[in-house]
Amino acid sequence: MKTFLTRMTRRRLLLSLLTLAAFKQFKGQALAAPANGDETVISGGWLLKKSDLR
Amino acid sequence: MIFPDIESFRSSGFQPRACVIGSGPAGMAVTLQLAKAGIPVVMLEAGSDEVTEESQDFYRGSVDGDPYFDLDVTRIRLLGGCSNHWAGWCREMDAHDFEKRAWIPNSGWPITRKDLEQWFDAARDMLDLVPFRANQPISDDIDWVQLIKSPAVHLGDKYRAFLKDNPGVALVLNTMVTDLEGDGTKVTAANLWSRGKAAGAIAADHFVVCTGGLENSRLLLWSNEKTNGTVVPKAAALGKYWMEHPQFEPAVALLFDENAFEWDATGEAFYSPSPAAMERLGIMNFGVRLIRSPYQGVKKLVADLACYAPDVSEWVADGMGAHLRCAAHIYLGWEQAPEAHNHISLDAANRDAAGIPRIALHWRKGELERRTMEEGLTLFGQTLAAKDLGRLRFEDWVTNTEDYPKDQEIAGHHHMGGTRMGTDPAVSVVDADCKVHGMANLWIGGSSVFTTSGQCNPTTTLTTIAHRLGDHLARTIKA
Repeated sequence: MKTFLTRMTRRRLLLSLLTLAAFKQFKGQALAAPANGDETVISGGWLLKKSDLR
Repeated sequence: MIFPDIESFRSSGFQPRACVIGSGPAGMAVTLQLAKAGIPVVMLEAGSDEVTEESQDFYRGSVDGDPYFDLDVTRIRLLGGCSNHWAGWCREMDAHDFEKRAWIPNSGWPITRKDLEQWFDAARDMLDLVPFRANQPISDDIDWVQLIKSPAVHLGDKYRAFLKDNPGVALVLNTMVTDLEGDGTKVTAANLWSRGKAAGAIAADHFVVCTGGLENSRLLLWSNEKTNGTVVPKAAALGKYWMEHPQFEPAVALLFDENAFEWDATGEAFYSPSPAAMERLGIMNFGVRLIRSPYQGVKKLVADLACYAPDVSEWVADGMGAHLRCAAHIYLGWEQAPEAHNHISLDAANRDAAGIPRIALHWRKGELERRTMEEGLTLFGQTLAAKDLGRLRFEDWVTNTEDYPKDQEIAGHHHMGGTRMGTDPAVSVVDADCKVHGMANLWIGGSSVFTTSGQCNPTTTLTTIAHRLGDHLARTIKA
């Protein structure tokens, strides 16, 4: 039960952050593809895969 | 034999064939090699057994350009030299560090890593190291590389008994070489300063200058000025091409499985670019140093990541209970291109107690350094992302292309260049054997002979080169 509640609390925290994120303007900046071909972008300072942003 | 000053040395009647100036890692390595070969050698140390304000004052100087350390703080003047205040991080330069790289101005040593291999064991013995493991690629672009933390041996302590008991070696404390005298083909004497006054001169068949990555240039510039250029007759590059390792904390990382990283005993892991990646991007070598941060750091990063990549963040949060997730600070140290404008000059208006002009260091990082930092970091972040090992977040000063922060490490206290190695006297001072161009008996040891800087801490490489120099000089003397 304790683990379940902890998980629920964590998800609630994440959901509130997601709501906040919805108001943030996306500023993804495309980067050159690395040697392995995966496309990456910088968003909020994070270097992310394009698929991370879905 | 150990002498407290030059007067007691003179009373001994010891006749050296070689005079080694400086007792830091380079001077100690050269002296050991000569002693083992049975060559009578005197090693002069300007300081004593203990650091004093009066002694450190000789190291004061000025810096213009980028922010840098006070010159009397970034080095230490006593027996054992910089081994008295080093952190102990060691790594041998990679083979590609010695190569000519078309995109890096003035790159390309006259020797290869293979030329040094014979002396790796001697350098490891001196620094208390085990052999290094080979680089392990984690992608086409990034290699895991090993740095080993030496117990940070203090060479004065380690070799005191050897120096004291060996009748073929004389260590003379409190004896500074103010300048060398020469005739354009060889050095004829070294003038001395001891206990606050001029102390005559010393003669030897060969002189080896090992006073440090800043002081080597100063001693030779001053000697040349006093003798109208008869100590370093081909001095176009003297004092120039000085280099450091810029070091900053430009990013943090959220690592998805800490077990996927090879942490050393101190909780750190190191990565460098592959030669192909450096060539493709036209950047220099760099070292990523991951340092695990406390678990609290993971939560903060996951929360921040949720603002931009919610699916990834939720997936990461799910694994937090298993404590697989890990946050890491990223320190980046990288190579600096050898450029003539980064140089040491003599400040005639400011002199030390012996009347020698103090150092004016002119140093700044350029566009290639900035691009190496930004693209190198991106390269590492792309490997983390492509392999789903984690995600990297740049600090604001990097993404906003602001100036380097002034409250971080700035650089590695690694003083390189100034008397660099090469075949062309227009852009170098010593040849492949560390002998000054045009001089028969003047040699230089230490990281001032580095042609390029690589990305790693210089002590292992400079110690290796100094052992090689000592061996070569012993053979030269015996011949």
